[in-house]
Amino acid sequence: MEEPFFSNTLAFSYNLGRFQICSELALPDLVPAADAQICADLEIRFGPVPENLPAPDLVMPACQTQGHDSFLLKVPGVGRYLLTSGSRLTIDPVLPRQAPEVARFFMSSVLPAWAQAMGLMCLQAVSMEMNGRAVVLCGGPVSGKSTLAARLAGQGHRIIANDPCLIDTSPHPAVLPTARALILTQESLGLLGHRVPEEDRIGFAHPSFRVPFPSCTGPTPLAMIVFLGSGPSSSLPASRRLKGKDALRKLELSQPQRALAFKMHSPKDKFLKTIRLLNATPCFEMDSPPDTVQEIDFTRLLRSAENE
Amino acid sequence: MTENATIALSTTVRQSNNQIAAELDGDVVLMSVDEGKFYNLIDIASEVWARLEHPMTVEALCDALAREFDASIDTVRVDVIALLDDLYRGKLIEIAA
Repeated sequence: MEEPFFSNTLAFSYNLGRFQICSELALPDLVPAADAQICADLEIRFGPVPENLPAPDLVMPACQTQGHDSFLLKVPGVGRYLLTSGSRLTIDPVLPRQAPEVARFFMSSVLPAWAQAMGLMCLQAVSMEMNGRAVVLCGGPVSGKSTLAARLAGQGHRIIANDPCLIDTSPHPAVLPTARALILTQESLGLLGHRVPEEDRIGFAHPSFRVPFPSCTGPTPLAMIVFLGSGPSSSLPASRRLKGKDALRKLELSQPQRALAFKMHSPKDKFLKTIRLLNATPCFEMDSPPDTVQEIDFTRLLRSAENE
Repeated sequence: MTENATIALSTTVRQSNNQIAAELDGDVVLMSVDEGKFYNLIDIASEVWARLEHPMTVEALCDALAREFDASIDTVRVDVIALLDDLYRGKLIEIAA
């Protein structure tokens, strides 16, 4: 007999825009809800998870899918995550339940797939609040987006999201709050002049640190998307407006390309959401990450886009 | 017969069901659903695409475009068949029975 799911036994409740998540797993990067609903959009529990789905239609070493609303994710050394019916997640951890890795892999791999099944867009990006609106910074692992975000946070801007960056395009594009900290490398912390908080260290081969910053607690209207290039530059960072297929190509590259994400989001639906987002949002490309935040005048960028 | 050789003036073509189209910054962007590839249609290519919503022979398509844009019919035929070859290879149009 199937074990019943009762929301009222779940210890934690979080708001994610118009969605609510109830969980036995603490998720420190999500915004706690003032009151839990009886029927959450996603319920997370600990429990046994089988090695395989009963009738998978996609089988890969780390994941399996069944239909558009069920998947099994296996993370060696961390645990197995099973989503069923699009709204029930069971976690079978190898590590202790409170180990940070259990929540971290939920945020980095499970939440994006679930969010896309719910019709949200997912970008590998950082988002910061500026003048009440969201600026999304896209870029590869060494593009400097987290360091730039930390500099902006140091100037008093609040963080909204830090990979995954979830965007609800309905009715108007808005970034959902999924981060209350930034993950920074030792080099970034050195550049920023921050003390390295050894207790917040995560990862050992390439050490990085979870650094909390003031954060947004609700959906923030999207103002613009900036695609950061990589590589050092001695000159001021040049920025240019991206339109049409150039913006589409950049945005496609910023979305998870994994088979799991592809299976959980209808290609047609994803395409139309992407077009709607680009038609509503100015995009810019920046040649190189800036050495100082003062050199990027985001307000001027936005004003120039609005005046076109 | 190669895919290149299938598009001729007498061929009747139309938009396929394997694509989805949307307007982005004034251009038409197509996505091939099976392959996940994107195509950007600008200027007259957008006009060609719009006319293929319903089945049409290549000859009739070229005649209409030459009249509307006051262009040489020979030039239009060469350019349109090249475009249709690309669209056909991308499975964005199909040959109507």
